[in-house]
Amino acid sequence: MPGNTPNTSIISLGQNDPENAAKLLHNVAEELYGKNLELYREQTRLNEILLKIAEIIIAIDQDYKITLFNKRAEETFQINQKDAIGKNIDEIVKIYKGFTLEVLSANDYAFKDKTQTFEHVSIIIDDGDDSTNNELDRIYFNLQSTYVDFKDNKKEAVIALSDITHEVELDKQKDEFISIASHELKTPISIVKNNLWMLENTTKKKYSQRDLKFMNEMDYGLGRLQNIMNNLLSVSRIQQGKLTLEIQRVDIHTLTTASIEALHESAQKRGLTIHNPKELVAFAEVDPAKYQEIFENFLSNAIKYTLKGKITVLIEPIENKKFYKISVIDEGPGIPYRDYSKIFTKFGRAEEGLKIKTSEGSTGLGLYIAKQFAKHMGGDAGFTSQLGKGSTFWFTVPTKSPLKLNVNTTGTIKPQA
Amino acid sequence: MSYKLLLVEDEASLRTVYAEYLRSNGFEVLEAEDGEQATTLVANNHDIDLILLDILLPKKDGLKVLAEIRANSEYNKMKIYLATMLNNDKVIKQGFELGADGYIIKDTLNPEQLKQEILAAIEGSKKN
Repeated sequence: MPGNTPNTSIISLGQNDPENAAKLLHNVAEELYGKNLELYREQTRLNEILLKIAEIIIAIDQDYKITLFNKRAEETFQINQKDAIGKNIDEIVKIYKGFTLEVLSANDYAFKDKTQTFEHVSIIIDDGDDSTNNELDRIYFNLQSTYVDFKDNKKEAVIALSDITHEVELDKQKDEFISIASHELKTPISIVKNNLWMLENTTKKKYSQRDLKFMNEMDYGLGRLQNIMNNLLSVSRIQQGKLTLEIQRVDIHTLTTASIEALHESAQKRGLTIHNPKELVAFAEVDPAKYQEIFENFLSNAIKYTLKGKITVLIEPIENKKFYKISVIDEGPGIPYRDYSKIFTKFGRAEEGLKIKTSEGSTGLGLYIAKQFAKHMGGDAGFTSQLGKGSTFWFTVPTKSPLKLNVNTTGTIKPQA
Repeated sequence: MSYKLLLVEDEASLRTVYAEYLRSNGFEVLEAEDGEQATTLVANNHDIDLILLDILLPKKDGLKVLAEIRANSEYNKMKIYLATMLNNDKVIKQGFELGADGYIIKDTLNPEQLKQEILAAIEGSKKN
């Protein structure tokens, strides 16, 4: 094959047999041209794929100057490839973390040892419509950054952004739907509840025990319905990052005993005794309503899952009184090890829990919400358990809240004077 | 003495229950089912002690009604409490900026508890 013949031999051949040498040279040139053309076509093809790919692909050199800017990038950032190449990526591409205004710059993701992945980054699209003070219009992406080492001391980082706006929008719509649906459902529930309350409390007629029992059941059912609505709303607020707290400095011992009092009857009905926490003055900075929601959730679970015996409530200072730890100790069936990871997740429930008759009703959201509330207030929640002996659910609250205090009266907020 | 209330609530069934209970407890109760009725009633009853104002209302929404009442200094003495179903901070905050005196979350109160809140709102302010 002529291609295998080294140049020197062509030169030496040229001296002896010029005609043959010329022919050989022509062949070599033709071969080379063919290979080049193939290479060029392959490169164009790859370029074309890279440029037209659905993901945004941007490459930068070590000075963060753009070396590649594909079609999708052009469309998204509204800038031509020609104008983008050679510019610093942070000037051309503004990427934010999630739905915040915190900027993610090349420094954060480019030329790291490992491939960097940032989920839920966004860019803001300026549609020139400032009239509404709605949320900014954004496109959401998952960002992945890796780099290529070209050996000659040149490295390029490749940044790929895949569009997840559709998923984010769907998620938002789901949360909005839950918000609206539960809000709309609250009105009719309130109507029934109030009218029932009037029947029970303002009618002159003397009801029979049987009548009263029916009314009680209705009230109980409505209470459960309200609980479910509130749980769904809480979850959707947590998911949307819209959970708000009214932090106050309160005596949690008083709050706790008030909650025990409220659930005392349901424990008694099941033949369970509740041991109150020891008298102590325990001031903590919490949202009182959320505090009681966490505690009542733990206590009502303990009541629900304990068939006989006692439930003990403890309040103790921990970590040099930085926190108070509130524990609810039951003598229920305990939680099997394989279910540990499910307990604080949404819709999670241990198998033992599933055996409890369904008329008790539960959305499986309570513990998830409780833990989120505790965390948002600057504490935490957890449990320990021994099969056949019982479980302890605990949560902690800070004595000094990391959040700002609100000064409120109960039930209503007074305006700032 | 008996206090004069204005209940602004488009949901008739909720409104009539509250109105009946409060009347039977000695309150004088005016009722409005939309924002326009509310402002008309306020204009004709300068001696209202407290307005319980729903936010989502037909014809004129609650925040607008609130702003109009607060724009007229003649009504300075009227307490205005927002009544909402949602513990929605944004709306409540807006309400306070417009001059509301407080709020209640409707679905957490039975008629008796509502009465207690109203009494506390009116009498609490008189002590100050």
